[in-house]
Amino acid sequence: MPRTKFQTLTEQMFYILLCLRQECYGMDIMDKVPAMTLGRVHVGSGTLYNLLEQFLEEGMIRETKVEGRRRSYILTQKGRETLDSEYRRLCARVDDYRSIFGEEEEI
Amino acid sequence: MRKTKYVFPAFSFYDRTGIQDYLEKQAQNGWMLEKMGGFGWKFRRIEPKKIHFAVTFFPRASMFDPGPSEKELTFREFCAHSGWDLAAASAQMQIFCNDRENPVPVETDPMIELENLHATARKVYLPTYFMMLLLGIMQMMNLISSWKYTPLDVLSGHIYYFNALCFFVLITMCAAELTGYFRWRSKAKKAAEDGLFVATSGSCTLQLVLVCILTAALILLLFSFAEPKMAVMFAALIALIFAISAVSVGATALMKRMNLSATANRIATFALILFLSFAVAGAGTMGIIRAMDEWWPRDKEVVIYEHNGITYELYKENLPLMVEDLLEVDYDGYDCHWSKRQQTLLLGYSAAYQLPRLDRMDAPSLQYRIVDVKAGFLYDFCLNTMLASNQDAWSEDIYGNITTDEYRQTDPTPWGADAAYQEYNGDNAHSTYLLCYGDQIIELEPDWELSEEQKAIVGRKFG
Repeated sequence: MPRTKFQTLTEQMFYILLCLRQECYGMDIMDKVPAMTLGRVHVGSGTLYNLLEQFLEEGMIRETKVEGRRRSYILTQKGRETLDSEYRRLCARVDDYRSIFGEEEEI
Repeated sequence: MRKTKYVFPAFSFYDRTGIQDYLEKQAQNGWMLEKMGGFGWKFRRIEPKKIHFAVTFFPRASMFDPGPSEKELTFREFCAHSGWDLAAASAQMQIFCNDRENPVPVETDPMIELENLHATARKVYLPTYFMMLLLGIMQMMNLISSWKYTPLDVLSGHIYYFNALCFFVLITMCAAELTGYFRWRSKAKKAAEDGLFVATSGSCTLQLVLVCILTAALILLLFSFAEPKMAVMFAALIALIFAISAVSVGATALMKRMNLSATANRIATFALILFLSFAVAGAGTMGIIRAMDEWWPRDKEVVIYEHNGITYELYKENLPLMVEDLLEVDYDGYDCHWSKRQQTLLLGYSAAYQLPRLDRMDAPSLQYRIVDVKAGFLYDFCLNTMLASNQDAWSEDIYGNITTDEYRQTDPTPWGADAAYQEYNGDNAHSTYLLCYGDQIIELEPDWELSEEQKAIVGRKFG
């Protein structure tokens, strides 16, 4: 079934929003995400540009500073709620895993 | 050694995999993409090396934009930040290159890529392909209608075969692009749910094959015209169409350089295309025809005369059967002309007339059509077509009875023919005959009743 937009987040969406807990230049997110995930997750420049536009349109982030073409953003309340919702969904997954295999079998 | 080269690559609009692979191969062979324009892709010589390419779509861009918008420039800066520099851009399509070892791709979310590509497709490519498909189908229906009403012209005219081929190619190309895109999109959408990208495979080979077939057909057509003058005129008309396209592309580029807004450029370009398509194409066509009439050496004798203050031209061509062969006439002011002469591998079809000048309409006249059936299986079809060709003519008597013209079989012996038919309307016999000699079917229309002796002369001329 197709994913309803932003009802659930992809890994890249999740980390972009996470980076924006603190004000941050859009472009810098490309470096922050791999650093945050020890190189496990990378966000492509095209993907990042488009996601920032979409987050902005949805009111999940807002622009804080514009210096030429460099723009910085920060998470909004709506963005925070979306992140929280995704966090709870991930936790629920972890809980379900634990209830089946138990703590001791965790990898 | 050449420092630049131009190529006209044939890629499906959505074939990012094909384009990327092609550009990577070019870079490995020492050619780097520099510009994509209406006249082809420009490459410049570089040291052969491994370069990665990424084809992306920026739906907000337009081919009429005077330059990249602020948003487009920001997008390009994002790409540059991760080592992707713009190689070339054409309207919505932006091609980036990166010579790093393992660069992070420009697109890492297949759903986002799919959304951008589809937004571009809906804005530009899909409406264009649907419109061209519709045009192709309408023209094909037009040809089918020609087949219905004038099948002998269609079978004997190379131009009909060429037109049919052109519209078949147009329909096939558009259908291939549209079905290819929607099939790929359907697969790509499912895969994108799992975060996977699907490689594209456009109809590049099909397009190349079709273009080659079309080019070969065009060359064959040019050599197939009975008169070289017609071939030159046709070539001039094709050149005119290309010139109009080139002027439109050039004008759009010029207005972009002049920093005209996208809206103004779009309106001016469409107005120019309309003007060029109707006014210039019409005037150009007339100009070509007049110039050819003026300058092309005449291969037949033409006599000019005046009647009631109007100037008329009459021809003096050699015809296989003349009024003089059948009658003693003391008049040499005839207009003798082949009004149609065309043939294909299937059928030859010609028509000739010998008519007196307008100031001597009392002199006897003669008209005939000759159908030369080269493909035996078409013989019955052609005969039946000619037998039925006069059925649209009808007359009404004083009692309101309607009768139509029809051919009735008659004795072929006086004609020395395999079969002979005479036209009737009710009980009235007309002096119009259909005569069969081997593979030839002749429709003969003298304006007097032929004697047995004259019929025998016709038999000796055509038999």
